[in-house]
Amino acid sequence: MILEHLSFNQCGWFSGGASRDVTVLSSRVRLARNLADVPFTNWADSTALVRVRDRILAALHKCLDNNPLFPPFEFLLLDDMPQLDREFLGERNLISREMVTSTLPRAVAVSEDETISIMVNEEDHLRLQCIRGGRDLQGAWHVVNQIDDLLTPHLDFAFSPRWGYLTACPTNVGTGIRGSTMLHLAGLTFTGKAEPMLKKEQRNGMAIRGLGGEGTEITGNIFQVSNQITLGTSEQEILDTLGQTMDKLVEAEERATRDLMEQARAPLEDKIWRDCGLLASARSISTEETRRLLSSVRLGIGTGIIPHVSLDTVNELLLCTGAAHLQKIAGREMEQNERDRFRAEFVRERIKLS
Amino acid sequence: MKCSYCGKPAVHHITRITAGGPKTIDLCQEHYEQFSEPGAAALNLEVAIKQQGAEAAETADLPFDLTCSTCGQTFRQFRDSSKFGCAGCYVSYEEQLVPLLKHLHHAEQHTGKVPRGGADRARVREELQQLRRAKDEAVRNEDFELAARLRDRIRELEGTDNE
Repeated sequence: MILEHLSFNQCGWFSGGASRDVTVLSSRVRLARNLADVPFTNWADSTALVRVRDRILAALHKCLDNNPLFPPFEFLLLDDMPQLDREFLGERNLISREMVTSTLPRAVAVSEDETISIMVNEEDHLRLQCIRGGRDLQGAWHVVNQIDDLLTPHLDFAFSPRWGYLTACPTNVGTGIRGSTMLHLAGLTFTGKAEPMLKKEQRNGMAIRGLGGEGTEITGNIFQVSNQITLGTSEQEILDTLGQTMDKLVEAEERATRDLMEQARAPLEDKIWRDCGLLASARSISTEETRRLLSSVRLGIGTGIIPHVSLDTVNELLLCTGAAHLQKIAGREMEQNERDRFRAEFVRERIKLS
Repeated sequence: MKCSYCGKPAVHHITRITAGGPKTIDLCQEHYEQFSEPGAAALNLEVAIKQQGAEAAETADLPFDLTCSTCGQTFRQFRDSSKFGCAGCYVSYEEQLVPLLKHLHHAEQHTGKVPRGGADRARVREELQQLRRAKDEAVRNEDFELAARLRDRIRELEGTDNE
């Protein structure tokens, strides 16, 4: 049961060697598809949405059940699921924020290793998503493309020779593809270069968002970079351009970190150890502060300043200190104050000063 | 009204599509120009819509009452929500969409993956929608001979679409 996957080790794209990269946390590709003969999710009534869900789930079962190419899938209906469980799936990036908050007849199919998530009745009828640890846009594209090919004979997708795959929002039309990469850019932020560099990438057609994707704030120096343009350029070209942007940002981040080490090692060490000290000793801490301090520890690991904490521990804390995760781990609902105390305890058990 | 970025008097008012729905941003001339650089404002629906038709096209001139013949959504509803009602809207609002999509994506022709068999089905479906509109128009004009010819063609194509 995915909903009982409380540990971070079960999150295949984020743990157990999947992400050994200090700067690139993950790569994700998603495809948007709609059925040709039914109104889009925002315009269809709930009877029509239930029918869409049934049709898509039937096709998914046909294509994915006992398919040796993929890990086993679990199918979850979201409308009768407790809010906390939906938030939990959202924190694991298995469903979008829109799906966390609404109670429309929606569903998600999640692969056992949590790398593939297929959302039904999101903004579009179908959203195919694959997330891989570290830099692997091509690997993620290969998987969603393969599932799309498998589904095509079973589902009549809305498509126009001129406009490509037709989507509910005109910003996704054409390929329906959105590639994104989650980058930790602490060196660039500390040297004041992150903002101008990212603004330039925005002008080049990239969208910059926070850890949770669309509509989320940037916290802990983690930026999600994704393509904006979806029409008139092939899937491969879109991902190549995104990959080049990612390489450029990673190189700049590495350079900024080297500069910091050469020119400001003493104040950098001071800051990193102080932040590590706060995590190791706080008695109450918010999600936002946890992420901000974890960014310093991550930078400390990358520069060798902090030798005794592993990247896996930092990734685990990024995932498991979300409000829904903490409540599931504690086995009870908690108010914010109690959560902040529980979070501090959870962090202290994992981050020590030596 | 002041510019959202620098506080100078705002001369342009732009609606952006965000995750939380459409949001209006007020801009001075300088920031408006930065905003209008290619790619910078890829989600800038208002500017895209203003660029269509006459230079000074006021929003009042837009065909807000235009209705999708497949799902019944009006152009105004699309404008307010930034979301189409169905795949047929792409045909119903085609004239308004060309400049919008060109602005959003700097392109007006899909390149990339095509669903196997899907392109032919899509062509038939677009033709059907155009024929149905023409038939309704013919009935309104009491040109029943034309309406009957259109009906026959629709039946013929519907047969193909169901195969």
